[in-house]
Amino acid sequence: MQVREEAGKARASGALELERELGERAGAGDAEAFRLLLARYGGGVADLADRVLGDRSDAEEVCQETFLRAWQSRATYRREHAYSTWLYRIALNLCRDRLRRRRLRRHESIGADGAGEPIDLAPGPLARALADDESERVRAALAGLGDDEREIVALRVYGGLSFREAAEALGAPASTLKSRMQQALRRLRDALGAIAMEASEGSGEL
Amino acid sequence: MTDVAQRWPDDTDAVLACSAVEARILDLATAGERDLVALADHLARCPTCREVCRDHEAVVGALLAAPRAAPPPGLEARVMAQIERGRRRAGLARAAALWVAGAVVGGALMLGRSSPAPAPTPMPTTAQEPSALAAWRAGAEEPARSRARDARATADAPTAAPLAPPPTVPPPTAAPPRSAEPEVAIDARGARDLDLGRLVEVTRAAIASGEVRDERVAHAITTEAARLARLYGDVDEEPIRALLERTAELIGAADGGATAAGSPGSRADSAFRESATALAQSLSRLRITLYLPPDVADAVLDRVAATRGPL
Repeated sequence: MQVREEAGKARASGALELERELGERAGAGDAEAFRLLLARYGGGVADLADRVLGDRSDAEEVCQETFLRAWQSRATYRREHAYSTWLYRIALNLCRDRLRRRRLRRHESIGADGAGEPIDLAPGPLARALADDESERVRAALAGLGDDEREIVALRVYGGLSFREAAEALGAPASTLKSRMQQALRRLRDALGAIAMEASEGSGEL
Repeated sequence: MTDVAQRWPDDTDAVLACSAVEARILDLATAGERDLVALADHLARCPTCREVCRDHEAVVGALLAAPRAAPPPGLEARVMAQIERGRRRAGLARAAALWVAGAVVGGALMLGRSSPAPAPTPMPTTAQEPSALAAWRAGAEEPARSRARDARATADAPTAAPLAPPPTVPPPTAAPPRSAEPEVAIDARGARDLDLGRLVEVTRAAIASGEVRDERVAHAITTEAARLARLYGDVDEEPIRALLERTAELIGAADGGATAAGSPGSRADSAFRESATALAQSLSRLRITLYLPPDVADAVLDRVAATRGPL
């Protein structure tokens, strides 16, 4: 058992080392190394963006933009950080820009009266009731979180980052992120429960 | 939530406050062995924290059970293609410098050929390249220096008239600095204006002269011309490939016939000079289209054709 754990740690450590090596090579302009990283993290970045933005189409654009930005600023990567942490930070910044633009567009469309109102990314009650598959339920529940909460959930749960790594990616103290995560999980629990209840009421189940 | 630590104050080894449990269970990966023992002990005794733990497990389980988003279709191909395009654009600066350096080589060839025939030159090894070729290659790494060399070569070589740009054409040194985004619209025109057929002829003539050193230079220039033509995109690959193949054939033929050809005589010398002039004109013409917008380039080319004959 211990041997297996050690082997697992060694593999994980080796993978991290390889990732950093590839990151450095990509930083020096090695496109093939970058291609390997893209293949490794394409799904992770797409998933992260999807969870944070709640919109598949936007997420796909952000995913592509993330890798282009990563290539453009490849020289700034430092091997002290995991490449995934560095990459997710780029992705999150792009997600934030997109959310900001969405809010701006919404603000412009509703006029100055709506200034300062938080945007509600969550689907309406009907949509939530109709959201009968797990994916849509989760999407709806995540959409009900604040941006900060959604980010830490996405990084921890989907990105697999530790709080320390997430703190590097988000530029916030790990202790703050832990509190944020606790709060997010409580809200998700309530939201998932409520959505499940709405769905079962809608289908006649009690 | 009650604080279990207050209920078992004497159990110091396993004491963990309820308020700290939630944070611990969210970050088990970084918990040490002692922390884990304390946590397990606490959960065994505290039903409230067990419920919190179960809730978190259920939520995270639901999040993970949802299908993961797949990377967008064709992501890798699109990203890598964009990266390649970006590299090409960035390479334009280098390409422009290479053309300037190429013109220097053309000038050097003409100058070398117009002076009295030198003693036969032994075939250079890879490590000992002809200085013109070395200078030309160095231009790729030091565009600024190669531009300066070009300016010096033009100033020092009044006989290299075909190389000198027409009066209305800004000298290469006056061209805007080329960063990742070229300031002057450069399109496939540059590649189309490159007279590939003429380059083949020039290369053939250069090789026919029997001078191995010049053959290598001519080959290098021709190959680079094809590479640059590809850089501009929107160019059929076929003529470029044909050019490269033809060049390879010619060089192969030259290698086979070099001994028979012997030292180049005055006729070959004259032919080569002519060919080198034509090559220099081709390069000059391409340079015009590189540095000027298409309509201005047209006007310049018309003027040049009217005064010197077609390029």
